[in-house]
Amino acid sequence: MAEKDILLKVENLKMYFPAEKTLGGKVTNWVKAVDDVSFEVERGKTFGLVGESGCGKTTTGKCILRINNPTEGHIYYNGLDLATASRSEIWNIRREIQLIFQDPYGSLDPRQSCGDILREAIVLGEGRQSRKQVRERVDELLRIVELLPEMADRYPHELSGGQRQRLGIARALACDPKLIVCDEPVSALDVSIQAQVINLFQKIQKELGLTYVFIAHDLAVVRHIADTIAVMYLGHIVEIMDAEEIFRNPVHPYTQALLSAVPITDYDVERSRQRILLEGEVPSPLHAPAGCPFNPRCIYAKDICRKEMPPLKDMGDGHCVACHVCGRK
Amino acid sequence: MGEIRKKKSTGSAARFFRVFFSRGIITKICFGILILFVLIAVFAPLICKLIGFGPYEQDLFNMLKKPSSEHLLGTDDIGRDTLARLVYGARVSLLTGILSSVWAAIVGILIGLAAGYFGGLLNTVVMRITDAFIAIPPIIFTMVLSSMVKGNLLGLSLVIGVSIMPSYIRMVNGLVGSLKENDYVVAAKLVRENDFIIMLKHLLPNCMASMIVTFTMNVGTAIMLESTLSYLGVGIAAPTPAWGVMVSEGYKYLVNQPLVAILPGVCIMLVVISFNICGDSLRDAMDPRLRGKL
Repeated sequence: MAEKDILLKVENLKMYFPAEKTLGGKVTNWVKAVDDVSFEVERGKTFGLVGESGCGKTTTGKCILRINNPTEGHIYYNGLDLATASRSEIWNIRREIQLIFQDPYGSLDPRQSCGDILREAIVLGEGRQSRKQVRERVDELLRIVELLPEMADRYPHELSGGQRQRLGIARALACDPKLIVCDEPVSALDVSIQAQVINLFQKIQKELGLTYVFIAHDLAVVRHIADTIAVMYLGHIVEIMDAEEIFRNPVHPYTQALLSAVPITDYDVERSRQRILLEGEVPSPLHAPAGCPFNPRCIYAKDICRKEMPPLKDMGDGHCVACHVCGRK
Repeated sequence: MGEIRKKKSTGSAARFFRVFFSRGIITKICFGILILFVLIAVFAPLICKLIGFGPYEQDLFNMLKKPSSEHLLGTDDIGRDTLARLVYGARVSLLTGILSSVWAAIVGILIGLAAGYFGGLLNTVVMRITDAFIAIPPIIFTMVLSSMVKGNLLGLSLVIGVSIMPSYIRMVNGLVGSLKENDYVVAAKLVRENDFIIMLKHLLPNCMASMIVTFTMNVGTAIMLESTLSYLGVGIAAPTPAWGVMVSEGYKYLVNQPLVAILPGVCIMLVVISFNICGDSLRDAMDPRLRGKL
């Protein structure tokens, strides 16, 4: 196999937030939002990150953008370790990594017209641009995200949810990014708009050769766009595999449960299939269970699962699973 | 398409006033009152020439007179024309009111913005000092300080400005504290906008609605404070016709000639109320979310 062209490599990333402090300011308990996460993203590909609410997907994304400063670990972007990079090093690559926000309402300044939002992002780029160049670039960006040029004069509150999200994408593109972290970009939209926006993401990726880290909780969405999928649970990655593989051969019990929650349009199949229903709630990250994080809800859980954290094991073809029981098969 | 753009830009002033006046007749009246007082203040010498009396001119044959064709609103205890003094009083009161609010707003908003945005130690220090300021009653605070400026209008406006500044710092600080958590601030940082521009371009405009209301309310407070100080004898020095001075001099003759004290009081009230109501409408008019809806 040819050498992979890795744009982003995350190694043993940990992000802990202090939860309880003594009077002296000593931290006695941590929320382990992201705990020992490693993955690689190939240039020009889409890396999907799935998991339920609170499992650390967004925190991982924010660490890549250095909105959060990771507690431990490395994030290599083009050879530069973002986790330890200085402010000026971050400043240099700031515009190359962009974020698409989950909430299309809060991510646009209500006092700025859409044109101003894009202009702001364009003007801060390299080199001086004439007013005409800026205006042409605004029109071009609006065209790329399939909005009408008239939208430049509108205010965010006059747009629909889908239009706002497109504008958010346009703003990210205005920086000529190489990597875009999409933080549940479609979960706030209704289903018909979701499909349009996802197709837009794919179109842009094809045209501009972008790399995505696509965070979502909806497997159906991720399957459509991602090349590789990582499933997260309580701050850990429990399974990484090709997007095709997840539907053919999901190994980890949590992945299986997630999959069985995805509705199938075929009525007969839907009626006849067996669903895995998870018992109980996700444990609080404040009091994470010992051993495998999934063990309290796992139907296969054995003694070892309650004692030892299973490592991520390669099962061939880049399919990695962190499970004591299922990995053995 | 070009047509649409053109139409929008020419229509923005019209839209502004449509929203501004959309609250009904009260706003229109209050706006009218403010314009009237401003005109009176600006053209005070001209008006006095028309009435035939200056604000300092004494007519010792006509003391504490009721309104007559000669003295339209009567005279005070030493025979000065009440109308002429009211007209000049508008100058002093509006000027101190607006000036002190402007000082307070400029300094207070900048301090509040910086403290709220950068947070941490700066925020703690600034807010504790502000709390200390708030703990001192404004009347006592300004009374002590205004004895140093000796009836000087500019000095007095600075003193009043300092006393109302904490309200801006508090307000902006709280607002910025919540606004800076918005995703659009993160987005601005990601496109490499610098901190000061983020504060001025994103946070300040989003605070504007509350700021305008605070500003207009403070103009009212400042006018009241100036009047109170003048009434107590530490504000504007006595012969200068300020409304507060007039009330303090006139209340002794409330039984014989009530107009001397009541009229400046009514003026203070009208201006304060008008400022507050116009402030509310201004807030609506400056909000792009409300433009074109009402």
